[in-house]
Amino acid sequence: MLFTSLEFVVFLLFFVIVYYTFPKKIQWLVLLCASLLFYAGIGRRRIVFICISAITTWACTNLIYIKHSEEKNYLSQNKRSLSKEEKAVIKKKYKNIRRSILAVFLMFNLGGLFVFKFYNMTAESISVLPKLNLIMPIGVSFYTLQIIGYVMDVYNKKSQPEKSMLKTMLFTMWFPQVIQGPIARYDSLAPQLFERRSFNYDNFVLGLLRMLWGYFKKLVIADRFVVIVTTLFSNYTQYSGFEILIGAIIYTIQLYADFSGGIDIALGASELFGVVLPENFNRPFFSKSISEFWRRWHMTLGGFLRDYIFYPVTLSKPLSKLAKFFSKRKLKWCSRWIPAYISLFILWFCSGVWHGEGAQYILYGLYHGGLIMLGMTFEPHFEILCEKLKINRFSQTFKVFQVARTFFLVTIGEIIFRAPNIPQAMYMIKSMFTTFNPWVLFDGFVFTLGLDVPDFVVGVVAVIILLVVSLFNRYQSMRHWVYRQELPIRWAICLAAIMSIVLFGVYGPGYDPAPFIYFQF
Amino acid sequence: MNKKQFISFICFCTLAISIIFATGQLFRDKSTTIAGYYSIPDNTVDAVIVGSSHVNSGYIPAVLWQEYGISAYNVYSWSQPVWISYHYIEEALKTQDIKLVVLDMYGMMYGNSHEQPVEIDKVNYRNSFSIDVGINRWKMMQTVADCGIDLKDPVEFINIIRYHTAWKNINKEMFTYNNHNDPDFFRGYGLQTNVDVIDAPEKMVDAQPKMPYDIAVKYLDKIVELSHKKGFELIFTLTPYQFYPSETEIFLWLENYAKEREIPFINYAANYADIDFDYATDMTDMSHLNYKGAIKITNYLGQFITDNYPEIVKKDRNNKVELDADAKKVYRVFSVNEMTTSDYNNYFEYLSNDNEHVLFAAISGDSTYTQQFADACKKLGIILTSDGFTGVKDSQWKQFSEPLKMGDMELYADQSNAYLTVKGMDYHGDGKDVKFAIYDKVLERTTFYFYYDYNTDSIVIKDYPAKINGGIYD
Repeated sequence: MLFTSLEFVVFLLFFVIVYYTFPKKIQWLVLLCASLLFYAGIGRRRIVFICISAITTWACTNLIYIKHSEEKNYLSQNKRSLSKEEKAVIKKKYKNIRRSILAVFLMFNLGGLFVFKFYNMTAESISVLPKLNLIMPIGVSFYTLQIIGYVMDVYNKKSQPEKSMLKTMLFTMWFPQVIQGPIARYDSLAPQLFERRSFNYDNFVLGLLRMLWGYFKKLVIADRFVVIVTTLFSNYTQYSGFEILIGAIIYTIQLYADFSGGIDIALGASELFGVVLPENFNRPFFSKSISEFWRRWHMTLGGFLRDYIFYPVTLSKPLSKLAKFFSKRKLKWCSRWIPAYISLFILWFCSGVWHGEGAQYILYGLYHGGLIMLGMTFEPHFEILCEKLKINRFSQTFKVFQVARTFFLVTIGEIIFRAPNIPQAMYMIKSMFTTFNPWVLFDGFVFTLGLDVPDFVVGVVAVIILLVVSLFNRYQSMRHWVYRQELPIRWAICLAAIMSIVLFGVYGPGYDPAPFIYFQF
Repeated sequence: MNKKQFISFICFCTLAISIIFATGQLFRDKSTTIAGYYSIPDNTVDAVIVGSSHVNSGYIPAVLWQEYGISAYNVYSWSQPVWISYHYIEEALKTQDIKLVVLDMYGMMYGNSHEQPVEIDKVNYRNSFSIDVGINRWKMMQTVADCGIDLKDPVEFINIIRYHTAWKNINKEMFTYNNHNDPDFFRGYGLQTNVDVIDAPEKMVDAQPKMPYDIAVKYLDKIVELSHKKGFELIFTLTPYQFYPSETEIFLWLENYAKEREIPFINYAANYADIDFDYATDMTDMSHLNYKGAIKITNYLGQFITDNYPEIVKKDRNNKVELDADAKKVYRVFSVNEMTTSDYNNYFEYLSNDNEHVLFAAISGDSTYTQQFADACKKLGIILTSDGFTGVKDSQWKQFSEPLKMGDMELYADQSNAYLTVKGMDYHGDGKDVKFAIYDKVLERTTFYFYYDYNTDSIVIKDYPAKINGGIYD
C-alpha cells in the first residue's frame, strides 16, 4: 500500500473515523490494528520480522530495566553491609548482564539488518555462501534505528521501558513513519501514541494540508522528473558536461521532492491522529555549508547518528586516550582534530552503510564526511583569506555564493548516490568536468530526455512553487498561514492545490507508480 | 469539531469531489461506441444486438426495420468479452424496454480463437469503458480485477485517473460534446465494403464439447439469469469468421448450453452454407463481414425473429418517422457505395442531377492549373459555369475568401494553395492534382473524396463512404 495510492487515502480516513469514535481507553489499539494492517498490506511475510524486532525490543528493555531495579534494590537493601569494593563488583556484574542483554538485542536487530541488506551481496562475491531468498522487511533501516535508540535510552536510564508488549509493537511500527521515517525518539513519540484524545479539527485540517503538500512534491515534481533522471543515468556514456550537471541537479530536486514529500505525507497522516512526528527537513538547499546541510537534511537520521554514534565514539575510552596521548606531546592540533576526524569517519561510514548495499553509498557517506572535515580544517584559513581579500563574509552576495557552492557540492554527491556503482559515478563526475557545453541549457536538450514541453514546463513551475513556499516557510508556516485565511481564499488555495495534484500529478494507467526512493532503505 | 466546522468540511469535500468528477467527465474519451444508443429517445428500441466488432459489422438494424419492422440497435464495443456484454445489456436496459437480446457468442471464444486474450483485454480496456458513470460502470470496473488475463486495478478506470493528462490537449470539443446527442443513423452498424477472399473454415471431425473460459461461462449464466429477471428473450448467434477447427468444440458446448436452457443458437459461422453465405465474397477480413454478408445475416435473423417472436414486429410505431429516416440514409449510403465501386461515371452523372450533394474542389494557385482543373471537371462530367478555382457549389461557381466549412469538410486557401480537408485531414497527391470532396446534405457528411492526378490523367480514390462511419477497429 503506497502512500500515493487511493487505497491508502481510504485506509487512512477510515482509521481516523474509527480512532475518534472508539472509546479513548482503547484508541491506541486502533492505531496498532491500523499499523499491523498497513504493514501486512505491504506483504504478509514481511510482518514477521518487524514483530520479532518489536518483541525483542520489549523483552530487552524490560530485562534491562529489571536488572537496573535489581541492582538498585540490592544495593539499597545492603547499603550498610557491603564494602565499596563489593558494591563495585555488584555494579560491574549487573552492568555486564545489561550489556549482554544489549549485545543480544543489537546482534539480533543489527544482525538482521545486515543480513537483509548485505548477505546476498556478499554471497554474490563469495561463491561459497549460498544465496538466500530473503524478503527485505520494508522500512527495516528506519525502525531498527528507532528501536535501537529506545533500547539505548533505557540502557542509559534516560527512558523508562514500556511494560506492554503491544504498545512496544505500536511504537515500532507506527504506520505513517514505518516505511521511511522520520526516526522518532521514544520519549517524544510513545506518550503521544498512547494518549487519550478527542478529535481536534485544527490538527486534522493542518494534517491534511501537510499531506496535500507532500503529494504535490511527490506526484507533481518527483515522479515527473523520474523519466529525465532515468534516461540520463541509464545512458550516461552519451552525455557529458552540462548535460550531466542538468541531470544531477534534476535528480537532486527529485530526491528532495520525493523524500521530503513522503515525510510530509507521513507527518500529515500522523497529525490526523494528533501524533506529531519530528521534522526531517528544514529547507536544506538554503544551507551555507555541508555540515549545515546535514543539520537540515534527514535531520532525524543526523540526530540519531550524532547521539548514538558520534558522541559515544568521541567520548569513548580509546579516543580519550588518543587525545591525551597527543596532548601530552603538546600536539595541540592533533589532540583536537584527530579524535574528531576518527569519530566523523566512523559516523559517515555508518551513514553510508545505512543507506544501502552498494559501495557507492559508503563513498557517498565518506564524500560528505570528507567535505565536512575539509570545511572544519580550512575554515579558519578561509576566514583569514577573506579578511585579506576584504570579502564581507556576512554580505547577502557571499551568502548566495555559499548556498550555491553547497548546492553544487551536494549535487555532485547525489551523482554518487544515484549511480548504480562507483565506476559509473566517477565516469559521470569526470565527464561533467571535462566537457564545456553550456549551450545545452538553451538548445532544447532537456526536451530530448523523455519529458515533452508541457510536462517539463509544469515541472519547472512546480519547482518554482516549491522554492517560493520554502522561502515563505522561513518566516511562517505556509499551511498555518493558509489555515488562517478567510474561507473563500482558503478554499480557493486548497482546491487549486488539489486540482494541481489531480491534473498534473504523475499517476494512473500508463505510469508505473514510482516507489519512494527511501522506501528501499 | 463543532457543527459549523463539520458543515464547512463536508461542503468543501463535496465541492472538491464535484470539481474532480466534472473534470473527469470533461477529459474522458468521448469516442464511445454507445453514444448513438444514448442519443435515441427512451423506449423506442425492442431488440438489441450485443457483442464485439462482429456485431458492428454483421447486423444492419436499418434492414431489420425496413424489411421486418423490428426496431433494433447494435450495442457493441471493440473486442467485447462476454463479461462486458453483460454490463452493456444492463446499460441498454436503463433507457429502453428491451424485449429481445441477440447476444453474439464470439465473446465466449476468449482464449480459444485466433485473437490473443491479452490483445482482447487491451482493446477492451481502451474502448469498452466509455459508458455513463453509474453503478453499472462501477460494477463493470470491478470485472477488470478478476476477468481476463491482463488484470487491472479497477481504480485505473476512474475517469479522472485515466484521463487526467488530457490537460495537454484541451480543445473545444471537450466542453461542447454531448454523447447523449450524437445520433447515428446506422444504429450501431459499421459499413464495410471491401471484399477479402477468405477460405471457409473447417470444422473439427469428431469434436467433443469443450467448456469455454470459466469466467465467460459465469457471465453467460448471469446474462441468462438477467433475461429471466428482466423478462427479455435471448437469442445466441455467431457471425461468420475464420475460426480454428478446435473452436468447433466450443460451438458444441454452446449448442448444448443453449439447448438445455431452450435458447435459440444460430451459428452462422459453422452453418454458413444454410444461408447462402460465401466466405469468398461476403467477408471484409478474416473476422468481419462486408455489407453484402451483413445483409444476408441480417435478413436471416430478421426472418427468424419474425417467425419466432412476432410480438416484436411492429411496423407502426410512434417513432416510425425517425426509423424510416435512418433507414433511408443507410440505403442511400448503400446505393452510393454500389455506384462508386462499379462505375464512377454513373456516380458523377447521378451527382449532376442530385441537389442533395455538394461538390467541393481545391486546386493549387498556379494559374496554369486552372485550365487543367477545368479539364478535370470536364472529364468527370462536371459542368462549370465560371473559371474560378476555389470551390463549386450546386454546380454554381463561388469564390470563397474565408474558409468554408460544411460538416466534417473544410475548404480554405492561402497565398499559393487551396486545401480541402475531411475530418481535419488534408489528403493530397504530389501537388499536381485537383482535390474533390462530395458532401452529402442528407447524410450530413462527406461521402466521397478523391483527386484528379494530372500526371497520370486518372482519378485517385481516397475515401469510400464506408469509412466515414468509422470502420472496423482492428
